[in-house]
Amino acid sequence: MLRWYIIRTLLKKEAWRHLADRGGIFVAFLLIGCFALACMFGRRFIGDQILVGTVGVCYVDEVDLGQHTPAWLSHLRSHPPEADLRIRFRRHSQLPIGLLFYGENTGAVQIRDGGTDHNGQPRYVIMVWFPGSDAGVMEPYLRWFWKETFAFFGQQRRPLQIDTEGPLLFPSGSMLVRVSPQSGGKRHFLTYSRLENDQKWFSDLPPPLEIRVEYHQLQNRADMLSFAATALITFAMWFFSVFLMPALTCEERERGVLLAQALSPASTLEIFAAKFLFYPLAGILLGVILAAIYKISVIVSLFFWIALVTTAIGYLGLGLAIASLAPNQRKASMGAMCYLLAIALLLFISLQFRVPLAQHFVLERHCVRLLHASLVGTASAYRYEMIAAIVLSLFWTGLAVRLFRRHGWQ
Amino acid sequence: MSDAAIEIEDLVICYGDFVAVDGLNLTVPKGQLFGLLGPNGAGKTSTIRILIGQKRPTSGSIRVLGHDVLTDWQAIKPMFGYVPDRENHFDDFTGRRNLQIFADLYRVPYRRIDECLETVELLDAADVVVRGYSLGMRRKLLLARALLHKPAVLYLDEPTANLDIHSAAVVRKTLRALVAEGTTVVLTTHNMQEVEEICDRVAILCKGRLVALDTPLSLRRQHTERLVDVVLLDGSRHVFNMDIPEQRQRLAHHVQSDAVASIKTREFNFREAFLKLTGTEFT
Repeated sequence: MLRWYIIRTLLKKEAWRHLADRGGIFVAFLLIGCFALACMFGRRFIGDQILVGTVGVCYVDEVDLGQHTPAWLSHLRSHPPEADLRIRFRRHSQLPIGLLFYGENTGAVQIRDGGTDHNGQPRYVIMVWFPGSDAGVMEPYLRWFWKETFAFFGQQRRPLQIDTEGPLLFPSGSMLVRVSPQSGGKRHFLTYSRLENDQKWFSDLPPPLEIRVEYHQLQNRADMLSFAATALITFAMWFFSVFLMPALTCEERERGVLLAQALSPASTLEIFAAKFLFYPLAGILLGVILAAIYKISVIVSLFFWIALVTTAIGYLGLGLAIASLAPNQRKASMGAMCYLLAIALLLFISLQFRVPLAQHFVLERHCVRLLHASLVGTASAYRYEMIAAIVLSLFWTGLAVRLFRRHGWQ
Repeated sequence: MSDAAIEIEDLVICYGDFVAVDGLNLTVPKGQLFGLLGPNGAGKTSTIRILIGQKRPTSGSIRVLGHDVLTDWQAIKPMFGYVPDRENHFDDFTGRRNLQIFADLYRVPYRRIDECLETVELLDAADVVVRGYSLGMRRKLLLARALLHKPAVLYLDEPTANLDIHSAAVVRKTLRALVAEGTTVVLTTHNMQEVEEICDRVAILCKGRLVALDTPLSLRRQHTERLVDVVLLDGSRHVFNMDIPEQRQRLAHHVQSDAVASIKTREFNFREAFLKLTGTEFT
């Protein structure tokens, strides 16, 4: 049973410690001050810049296609990208009526009805909507889109005639397109390789499906400040729960103060509860302040709070695990730093060398996306991340409790 | 209701293959100041760790004030105080604030803080940050903290180590006063004089076994060697054993013939007794 007077005392003790040694408070104010300045003066300088690969979610929308989804799009739905890309399919009926709005850091591939050709066959218009000024941010999504599109029509023995004035964003390597002579600014592509490999089909070649590809710049932009806010919120949580908490817990243990508390009427559970409350709450408070500086409306978002609490719990578990394993304060601090570096390297290697499975076991992989999605308003696309983050948070917390009970204050 | 504050039965504590305590049976009556002695590795610290619930015994049972340490730990916790062998304060807090935290945990009114600080003569330094305390002050603050909730049983691990004479005397006086009020005090110490001065009973452990359990006076009676060192006027030195009639007569003869330059009886030497009992030097 938890006794409030004991938890209150332990919370007060933690607060006194930070007031006596103000390093943590200084870092918190530094984060708030720097980010506030960045938001006040930085938007006009960095607002239009964008990093390649910063489209968090790509919508594949069926616009003007009616209730019947072409088999081609069904194929796309059943063949999602292998790489770690976030695709959201929306049928015509699922789209809002009127103007389509895409949030920050999102892109879209709209498949639209392009009328019929002279044979009465349907034509399609592919509109690629990209944030910022560089359509290259859509490259990972388009690579998947065209790969699966070519695969589908290859199986159908149906050539494609693709007209575009935009950049070449088709799959590299096994190119399935032939460039026809440029005329009037337009470039024409025709799928051919499958047909070449099987000459007997060539004679009864059906007329190509005509697809026009257009590139459009979204009015919104990939907001660099949203990435900065996400990074700072994540850092705030890490700083309080993974860095400060283990370091101070180890200091208490090293000095025997933790044992003194354990021998007092405070139970293990209550000592836990106080630490569980103080450090995540401090991280959450700082995270909320940073989020509010970025966008005040975020703090009424339920998804934001869920993402924040999940991250805080996960980091608390990590922090307690480090506190339980590290023999002293210095090693706890080093452990927290090493963890940060190891995770960064793991994610980098996982992305660079296409080892997608590894990163799914990393809490940050999910929590960072959740936090960013909650900041830019694309939360609904991150159900998997939410479940994964909750599972990983519970795992770390369970492990930490077990470790701490075993030799937390010895 | 039992008169025993602490009852230890067939206690065995093992660390892997190493047996730290081997079948210890010990009863500490209420209201006694009990000394636990032994060389390094004798099992004193292991026994204390069991008593303060920081280790589970390999086998055996331990009851403190009638409560089983293993099954009724939460009931025991508020009843004992513990003074560790090394100080464990929050260095950034004042002495008073250090005690405030524990006063809150024990739900003790703050006026008790001043009482305890006064008892250990630290009231003047109550609002000084502990980082500025001397070693002796820190150790006295430990005792003040342990006394906050008026524990029925108090465990102390070398409470007067590294204390100056005055501070050590304050601690001893405080412990005797506590015992007079009915508190049971168990202490480990290496200070033989302290044992003789303040302990009501002493247990001597060696290699995990109890080798002696008695009052200091009784131990003195059992282990005093009745020897007399004599230096004669001619410069020769002699030792006379008072248990041997011929040697007593020879000593008497020297005294009567005024041939003695100096004469000195050998006092009880706890160190020697300890050495005899444990076969090892006291460390």
